[in-house]
Amino acid sequence: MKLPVLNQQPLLTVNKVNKLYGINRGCQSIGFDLYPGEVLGIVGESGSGKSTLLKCLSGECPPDVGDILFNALNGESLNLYEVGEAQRRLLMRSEFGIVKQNPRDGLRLSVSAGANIGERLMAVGDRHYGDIRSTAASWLEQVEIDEERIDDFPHSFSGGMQQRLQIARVLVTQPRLVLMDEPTGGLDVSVQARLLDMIRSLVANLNLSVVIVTHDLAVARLLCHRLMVMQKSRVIESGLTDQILDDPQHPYTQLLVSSVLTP
Amino acid sequence: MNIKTQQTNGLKENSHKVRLAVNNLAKNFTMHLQNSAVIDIFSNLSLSVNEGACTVLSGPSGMGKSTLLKSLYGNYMITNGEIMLHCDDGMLDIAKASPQMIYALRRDVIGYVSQFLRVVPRVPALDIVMEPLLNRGVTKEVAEAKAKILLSRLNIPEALWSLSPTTFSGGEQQRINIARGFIAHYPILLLDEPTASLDAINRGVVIELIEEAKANGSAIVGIFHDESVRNTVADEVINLAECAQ
Repeated sequence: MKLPVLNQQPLLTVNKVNKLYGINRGCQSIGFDLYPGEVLGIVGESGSGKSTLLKCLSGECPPDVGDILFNALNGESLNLYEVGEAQRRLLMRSEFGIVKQNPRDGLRLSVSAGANIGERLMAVGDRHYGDIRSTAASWLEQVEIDEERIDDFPHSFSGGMQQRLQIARVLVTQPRLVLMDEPTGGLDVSVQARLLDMIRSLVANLNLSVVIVTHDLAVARLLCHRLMVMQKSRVIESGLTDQILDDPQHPYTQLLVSSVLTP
Repeated sequence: MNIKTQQTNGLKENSHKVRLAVNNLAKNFTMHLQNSAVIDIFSNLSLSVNEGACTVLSGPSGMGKSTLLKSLYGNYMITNGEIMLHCDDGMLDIAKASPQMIYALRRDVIGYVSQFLRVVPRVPALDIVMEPLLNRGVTKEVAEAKAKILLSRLNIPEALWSLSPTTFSGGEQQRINIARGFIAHYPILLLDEPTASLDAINRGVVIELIEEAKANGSAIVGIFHDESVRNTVADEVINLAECAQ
């Protein structure tokens, strides 16, 4: 029996990030490393700064202070807000994937399901129509949407299907880091379970690193290796998911955990 | 505090190598929502577990047996003390290990079988059992073959293998959990009442699995309320009541 060897470099390093809209509004003093294959959950009540932090990570919102470093595929360590606008946008289309809470914000409603998936491929340089269409079809299958719906428009899909389509659109370019904001919010419980199971196996099979914002602790338990608990713009507790949920240390985390209804 | 230990089967002759050493462990819970009440579970707890041996924790409920197992697994954060893992190439304090280290330990080194299966909706029993091997990079074919052998040994009807255990009986769920816990070899194995709701035949299978794990060198820490199981598998019994404060 040998000691485990940990030789991985973090994929993402967040250093003392602040983005404040007012006193304790937004996020501040945020720092963490995210490793390849790791799923990090950000939990906390509405207004605690979860989404602000996610916007900073997704290149949409430069922090007032602090650095966000991404270890790119070519080995370069890129400072998200020091690279040029063009390079950042390319990064967001290739190595990053962003799943919005409302699938209608992440999809293009005026084009077909197949085109929604194909568009991301074309954005990173794919041009062969046959290849793009067959890749789109195989992704529809992976997210459990009938291939025959490839030419249908997203508005004819249910909310759960739209969310799965958005996930296919994001994952088709094989991003290494996926950022998700409440991906199961607003869906039926049965639809949620299906989506969660799907996300869980995709994340494991593709060795994705994920940052997922959720206020649902059951979702967090199912998907996340590690959690950060936020309250009033700060991270008040972080650690292994099962340790945070089974043995919370901070008063606020204890309140969160004890407030969950278990049917 | 001194801890009373009884030798039951006597230590196996083949090895006395310490695998896990718990030194002066203390655990308390601070209930911030209940007037910050502090509940002391145990303190100054020390024990060690050898390769190929099974240490059984005994004592009445509420003495912290499960709490100790959960602390050894990194599930509970300890208040004080250390949990030293003795590897061939060095030592590591589990209580201070990074999350990345804990993931690696849980994948390759420390197994844990609880009384309850945490069921993931929609995932078939067979996949749940295979997962620990797949996580180690074992091929699907090999993992599936091993999982099927284990499920058969534990008398889970083949018709159930492709179903999610959500609707299984308590005993069936527990056996899925056991199959998952024993499919891969773990140098350290933590067992929290794995036989609690099993009939005599399946209890016998679990005893066999435990003996096989010991023969493979696993250092086991277990809680067994069933006296016959305890007497069969235990190399050492530690009574936590003796060292509770």
